[in-house]
Amino acid sequence: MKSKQRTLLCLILCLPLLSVLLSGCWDDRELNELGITSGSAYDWENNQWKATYQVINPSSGASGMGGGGGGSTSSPPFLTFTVKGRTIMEAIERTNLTSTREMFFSHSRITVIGESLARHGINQLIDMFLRKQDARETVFVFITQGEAGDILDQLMQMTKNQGAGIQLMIEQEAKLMSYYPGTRLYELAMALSSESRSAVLPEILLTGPQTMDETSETGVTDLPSRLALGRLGVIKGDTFVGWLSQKQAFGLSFLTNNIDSATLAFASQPTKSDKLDASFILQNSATTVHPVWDKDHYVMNIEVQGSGVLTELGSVMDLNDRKAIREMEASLEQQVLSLVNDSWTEVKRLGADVTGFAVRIHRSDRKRWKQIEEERSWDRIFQEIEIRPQVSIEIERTGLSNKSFKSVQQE
Amino acid sequence: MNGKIGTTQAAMLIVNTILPTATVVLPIIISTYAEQDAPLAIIMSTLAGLLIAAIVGTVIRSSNGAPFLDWVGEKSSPVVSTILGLLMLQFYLDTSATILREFVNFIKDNVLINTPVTVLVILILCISIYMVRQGIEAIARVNSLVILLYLFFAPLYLFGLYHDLNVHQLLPMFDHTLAELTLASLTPTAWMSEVAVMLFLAPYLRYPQRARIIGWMGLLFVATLMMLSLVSALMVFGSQFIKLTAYPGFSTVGIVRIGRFVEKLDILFISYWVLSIYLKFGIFLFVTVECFKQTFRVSSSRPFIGALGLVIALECLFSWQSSAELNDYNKEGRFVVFFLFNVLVPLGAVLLNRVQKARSRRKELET
Repeated sequence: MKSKQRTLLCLILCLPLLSVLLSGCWDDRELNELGITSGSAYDWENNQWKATYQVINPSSGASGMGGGGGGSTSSPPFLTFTVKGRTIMEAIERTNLTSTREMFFSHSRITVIGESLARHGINQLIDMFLRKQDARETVFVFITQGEAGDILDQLMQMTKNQGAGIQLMIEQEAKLMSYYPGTRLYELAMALSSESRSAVLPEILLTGPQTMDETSETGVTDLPSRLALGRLGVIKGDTFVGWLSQKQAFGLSFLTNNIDSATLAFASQPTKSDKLDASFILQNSATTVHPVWDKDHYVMNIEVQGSGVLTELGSVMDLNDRKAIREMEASLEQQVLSLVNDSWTEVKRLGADVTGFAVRIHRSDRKRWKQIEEERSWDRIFQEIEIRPQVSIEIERTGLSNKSFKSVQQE
Repeated sequence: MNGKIGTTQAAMLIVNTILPTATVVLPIIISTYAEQDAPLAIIMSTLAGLLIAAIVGTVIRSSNGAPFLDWVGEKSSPVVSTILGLLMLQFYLDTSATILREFVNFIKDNVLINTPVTVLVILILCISIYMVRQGIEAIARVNSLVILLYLFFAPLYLFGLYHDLNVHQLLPMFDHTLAELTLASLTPTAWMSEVAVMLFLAPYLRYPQRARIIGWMGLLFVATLMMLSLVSALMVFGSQFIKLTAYPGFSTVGIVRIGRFVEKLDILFISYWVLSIYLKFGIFLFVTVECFKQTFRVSSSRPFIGALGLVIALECLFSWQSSAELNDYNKEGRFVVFFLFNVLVPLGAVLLNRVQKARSRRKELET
């Protein structure tokens, strides 16, 4: 009985001690004091970092931009802050001079790098993302030719959160078109720290000259200026070295086995006409690369194997005829071959191993790779590489009709 | 309060004695030396660990679960056991202090950036002292529940990384010399040697004769999970990028995602890690107290738990302020110290027992 009383007394005495915990944690953060950034952009201007942050505006309403909820319909769904500093963190801290909320980066979806910064070098930016606790290494990275900050000002029609919208765009592109895969920040860092020391970044651009940054401007069905994915920027070391066109980027996707699904336009009867009159959806594709040392240089034996379905045909053709199908397959193979060769020519001209050949050589021929590393001769070896691509495409299905509509008309 | 613990419970205690700090500290050290050959280094260190577990198990079998220092005192002399006890007490105080510092550093780096270290240390210590006061049986029961949670976390981790795992990142294999692999496996061997805590858990084992099996089971489980953690980090990030990150295991967790709805799971995994490191620190505090109890031959250690905790806290706060020094110690110094106390001490005990047996046999023959 006495011990129970003593325990009770101890508990009562301990109760005031709990108030110590109520004084609060040193790391407390109130939601209404945070500026949740959905995207960031970085430029290099007058030897300074110019950073733009896109902060979700909590007082924004639906405003015809999709979704529901209350709030002011006239205020934009996000706000942007542009700051400058000698270092990135100095610039970030300066947002506190203009913003009522502390920047919170954990929900960032995208980062845009201006060409000016890409030419200056992006090592410091990558380091900041990998070092800072609330910076996310999973953000998608893009490059733009002009000012990166302008991209973040542009409103989108189908989504309120522009950062999330751009993420969806690149994910959809990689899944359906495969011109280039989206590059997350850790993938960029991985590529630049790999044996190849090179990486690619998709370009994001505005299709028109003006930026749609007022909510009233988005109330039209066809925006005069939209966000779009463009070419593929090539980074070597940590600096920008050039662009690959969409076609060349597509060829690179074949070279690096990054095809998820893609549509190919091709000439159905190449012996009669070069006109691209048919379409094929490539549903499965696999590329294998085997490096072989041939006397004084490397030969890359590249095998591309793919299969898919015919989705469009503009010539007179009976699809029950195996010979006709084989002719189309040969045309498709030629098409892919030309994409791969075009891409390789440009990659070689840029001198940046975005193909990952260095990694493959290290994996398959480690002794020679060690020698290359010791001699620091990779750039020379890369220029001497010869590729021998072989493409095999199979039309597995021809869709819901056996003959082209044109042939029925002619009959 | 201190009941006996079963074989599986003891094996699980061994798992959490080694694993929580191993997953944080080791990947960066192993991959610096062995890069994509890191799995080989883990295999080498596991083999060494199994050997150490065999030695420790032999000691416990010979003593039949008697308190280690009392048994050494019987076999040699009370002076020897007291000196050994003092040295081991110093070792366990140091080790507990470094564990506490690794715990605090991780929390400070990842979650509670502005909270003062002293506050974190006091809070962790208070909770751990409470755990130790409840006894090893209570710790073992909670520990078993925590280990069972792997059934939830391991599949979530693997499914979430499924799209990012690239087996080619493990190539080329055997790219490193035996010297590099040995260097890479030294520090993990030091961690595996922590199985020697069994020397002080022996009096609480229900079946001390199964000590070897307990050690082996625990180490094999640790090796499997270490392999899972390191191989997945290598397959996701590759051997070069992994060297850049301070906590590769947790960087991998950062990219776990299932569809668009399950992502940013860092905090979930960190919370689980905190659960297991509490147990690790609790086990080491218990072993330190047990070592103190056997060295000074006190019947009840309860009044001393707080005092020993205070010594650990002070060492943690003032000896290991620099994380660079702690990293250096982990990378280069720890192996020597651990080898001395976790390998040579039990090995010496085995030899002592053999010599004693041989002597008594000779005496029997003479008579």
